[in-house]
Amino acid sequence: MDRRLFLKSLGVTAAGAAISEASDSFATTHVASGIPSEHLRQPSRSRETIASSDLSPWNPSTTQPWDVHTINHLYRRAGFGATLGEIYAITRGIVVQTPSQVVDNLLRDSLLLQPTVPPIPGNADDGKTPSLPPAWLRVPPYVYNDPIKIQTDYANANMKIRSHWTVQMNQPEVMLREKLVLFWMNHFVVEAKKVYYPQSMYSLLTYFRQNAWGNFKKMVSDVTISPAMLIYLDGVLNAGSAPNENYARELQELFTMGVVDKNGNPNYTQDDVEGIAHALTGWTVDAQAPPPDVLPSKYEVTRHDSSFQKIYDGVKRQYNLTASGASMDMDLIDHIFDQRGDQIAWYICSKLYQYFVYHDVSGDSEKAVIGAMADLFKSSNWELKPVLSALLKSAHFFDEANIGAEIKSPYDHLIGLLRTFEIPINELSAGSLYFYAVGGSQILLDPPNVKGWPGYHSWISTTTLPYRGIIETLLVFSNKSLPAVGTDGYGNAHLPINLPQEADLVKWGKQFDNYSGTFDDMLSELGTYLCAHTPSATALKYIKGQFPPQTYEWNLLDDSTKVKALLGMATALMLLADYQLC
Amino acid sequence: MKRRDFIKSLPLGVAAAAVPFSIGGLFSGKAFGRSPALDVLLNAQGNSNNVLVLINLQGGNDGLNTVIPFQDPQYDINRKDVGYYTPSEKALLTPFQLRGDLALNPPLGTDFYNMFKDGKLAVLQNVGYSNPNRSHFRATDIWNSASDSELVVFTGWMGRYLETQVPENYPIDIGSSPDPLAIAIDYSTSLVFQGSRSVMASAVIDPSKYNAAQNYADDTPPNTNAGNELQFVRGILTQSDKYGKRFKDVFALPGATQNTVTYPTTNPLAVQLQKVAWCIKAGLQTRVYFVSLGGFDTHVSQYTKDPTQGQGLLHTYLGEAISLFQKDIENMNVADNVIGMTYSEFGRRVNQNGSLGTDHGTSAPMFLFGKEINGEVYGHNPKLDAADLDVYGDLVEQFDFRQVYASILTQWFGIDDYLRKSILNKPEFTSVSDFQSPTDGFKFPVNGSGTMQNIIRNPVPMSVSQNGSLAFNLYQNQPNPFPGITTIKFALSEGGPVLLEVFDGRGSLVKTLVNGYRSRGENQVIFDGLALPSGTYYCRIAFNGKTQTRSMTLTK
Repeated sequence: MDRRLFLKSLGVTAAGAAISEASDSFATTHVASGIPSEHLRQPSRSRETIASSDLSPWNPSTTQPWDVHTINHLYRRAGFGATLGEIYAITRGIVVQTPSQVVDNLLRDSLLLQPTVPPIPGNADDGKTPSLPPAWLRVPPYVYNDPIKIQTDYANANMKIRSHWTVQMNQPEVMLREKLVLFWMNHFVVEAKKVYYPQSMYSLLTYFRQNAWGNFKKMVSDVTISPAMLIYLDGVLNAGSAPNENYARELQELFTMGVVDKNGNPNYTQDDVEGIAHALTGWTVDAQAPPPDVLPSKYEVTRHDSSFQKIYDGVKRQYNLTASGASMDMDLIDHIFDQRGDQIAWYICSKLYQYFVYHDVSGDSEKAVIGAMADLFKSSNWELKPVLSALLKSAHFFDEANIGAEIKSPYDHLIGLLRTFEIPINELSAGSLYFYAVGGSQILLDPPNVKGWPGYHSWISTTTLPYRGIIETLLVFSNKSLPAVGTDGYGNAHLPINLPQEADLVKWGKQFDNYSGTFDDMLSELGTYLCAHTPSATALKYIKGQFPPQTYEWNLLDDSTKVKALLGMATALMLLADYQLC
Repeated sequence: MKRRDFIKSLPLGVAAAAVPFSIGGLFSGKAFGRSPALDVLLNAQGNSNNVLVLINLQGGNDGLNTVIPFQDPQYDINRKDVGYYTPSEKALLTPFQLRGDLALNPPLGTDFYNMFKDGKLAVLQNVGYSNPNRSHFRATDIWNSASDSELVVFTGWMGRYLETQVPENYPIDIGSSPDPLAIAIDYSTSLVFQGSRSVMASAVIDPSKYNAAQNYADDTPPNTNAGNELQFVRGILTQSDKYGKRFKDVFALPGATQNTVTYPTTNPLAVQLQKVAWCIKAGLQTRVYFVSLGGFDTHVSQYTKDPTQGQGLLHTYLGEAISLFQKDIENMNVADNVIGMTYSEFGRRVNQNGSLGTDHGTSAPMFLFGKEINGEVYGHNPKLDAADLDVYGDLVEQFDFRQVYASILTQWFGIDDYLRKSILNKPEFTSVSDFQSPTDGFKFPVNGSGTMQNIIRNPVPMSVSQNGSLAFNLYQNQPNPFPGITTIKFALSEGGPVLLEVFDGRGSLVKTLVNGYRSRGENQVIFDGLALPSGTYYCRIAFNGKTQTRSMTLTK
């Protein structure tokens, strides 16, 4: 066997020269060393052949119709789930919406421009007295002379941003935009605990809302000099001849191209990191600027090191950002995209693929689709919308093997519950939902590190999974006022949720086809709605066994008993592993 | 009680191998139907109840300001503004001196330093690996997976060790231990515990308040991406269910959550180690605990000297948490079987940056602690002269981190050469005497006076299967003599890494037939000798530290 194929068959991806002539003896040594090849491979995965490995559009068919199963799939991946009403409107022909129309509707540019009211100053946590000045986003930090007051205000402001964000996620019209806001905030990561200024956090969040499917190259330029990022990765301290490498490294490693390309070759060297760090010197944040422009970024030529740098191609040039207005040979971002375009396209499309389709991209069919996305990304001159549109409409996206292959994030899970049971929230009640997300380990504005939440399997552990069960049961059974769940183990008490109004569960239940059918059909229909695939017969049988036999006479039950039984079924179904997948 | 002692205490007067019932069943209340031979095998690969506490310092702890070579003039030159101890301040280091030219950063605290004085704290200098990676995430993966810099390995070194302790379909079958093999005091587990088939650790924030979940589906998921993920979630449900019940029992006992020291709630590492102490005191059979402390990425305002901020504060947390934990488990008389190890993805660059901080660097010191640790300084001081640094001006490692792992695996967990070789992706570490520094010939571990010394005071005897012939069997090939192609069968009483090789009459390796995990039961492989000359060949199987050889005759 060709060595390269051999390495590939082991699932080994090697950085540097590993997959090259020099690597041959290296690979052989390892293989002969007694390391079981399993350890050099992604944990086992085998599956049916994926039907389509390009971006050709999906057309519903008799074998795979546009039904509750596929509608749910699109709504869960491109958003946070569908209500029964949204699904049955389509399946019962009340509205005519093809999959492609749904995607186009979600990708309307007017949704980006749609103004959203900024977080209200009232105290979102307990609904009591407002504790922030009404125009808190426009209050510069220097007006504070009380260090305790500023910390309290900023902590409250962050809570308000989280509540506001949660409410946005729960709005069906902008669900794809918000799904992408979560993506970008977890791509160009900033952490509130370091950035400190909620104004800067909110401003970057708003930027992603307005550019959710905008131009990626422009996004890199804009984020590079956004105040939140300048603070977070020490751009504000990157000056003169002793630059700080923090942003220069992550710009390449995490934000644009990754450490290695798709073949395992390194994308940049330590010299490139240092060169880019030098080129980006001089950008800082003006903490003294008067309102309304609070905490803007600015370029200070005296802090810039205009020395010539060699970046990637060995040619010495003076680099800066065009926005600086300073004289230079080349815009740094232009240069990065010119020199590393293929790598950037592959890296970003891989991440989008992982987010929307499946996490493990080591297979050939995944790589083929990512390759097609990358080609489209480059030919669209780094516009994101064509790539997203093609992916979400593709037969590959709707492949049965990929349906239910993602693990719900805590917010997929939480917002999904609210949407499923049509539990309304507003900015005041959403504040307390934050504490439920803490237990799931996804604290908005505070990802764990600069790489963001790793997602995928890390969402599910022996800690978070039982916790999800508690949330499900509580939300379903006491849908207006929820008791505190105790502490999360770090001593953080979880506040009760006060929902603004009770969901109308009888109305909710009557939407099902089998509300007036049989017990078995009702259970199966509910399982199909709640889970990505209808749960197995053994699981449904087990659940049925938990019910008193008189409930099996489904058509004899009154509405209140039926609803109670429905909630019991739902709770049991949600405790299945199936419910954690989407 | 150690399991072996437990077996001895049985009034049966028979060898463990003959105990006619499942030991695991006694602990969990469920018989697993595993043969006694299997239990012997399992015991053989982990008979001690030794515990390892992994303390991960996330972000890249600055080694030069942790174990400070304060007499080195290059230290003065390179670290002027990063918590630097000026000549007049160097007296502050005197109470923390490890030797004449080396001291602990004072915020680590007197109690921590006293662990060194008492011989319970080992300082391993200049630990790293060749061609170091400066990415947080890649470097963290390298340390957790124990891979070479260039090789991406998807399992962790502890995961690979721990999966030798459980049935192949773990966690659906959790095996004979009622407790998690490893516990991460966290919301999720780390790559360090990823096995080739499943995650070998449970994530628990607080075992005393644990809420269990349950799996009640037992059908086979479809063979798709979605099916794979369904199986993953079900495995976690099963772990949660089985271990959750046990936590509930254990932590319902009076005093289960009492400590003998006060762990400050403001110290994020201490509150984790407090829970580890509970688990150890409760007698959980958990082998490995994982705790972590973040914030070491000190690009800015490092404040090494200040115990209340920056790296200084993190060192306050670290020294306080470890010394309290050690004191606590000693007071509770459960310290004999516990050691701890700190590790961080990299040290910082030798030369400070312009922001009163340091950027991502290379090798750094590690701490090992416990009553069974030979508390010494191992290795020379970091070599800071320009000529000794790498091309980027950073430290060159003296020891490979896998040498440390190898010491722990062999001396603390008592695994044999063969298994260690398969767990560590470093074939050259074949025995303790071969732990030689790749860069300067330094032997490892070497104490302050330059002589070889074990890091563990009383190394656990390297275990070999007590009744190895029961654990696997290599059958005679069929047909034999054979004209070119023959079938070789072997049986394993438990799944595990197998090496099956064919040698010629001179003892030269002809072919490796199997090199990897094989499951319990009978396995077979075809040997193709069509291209070989007629003669006698030897087929050798290596499994669980033992080998068996059969001769085969090729007649064309």
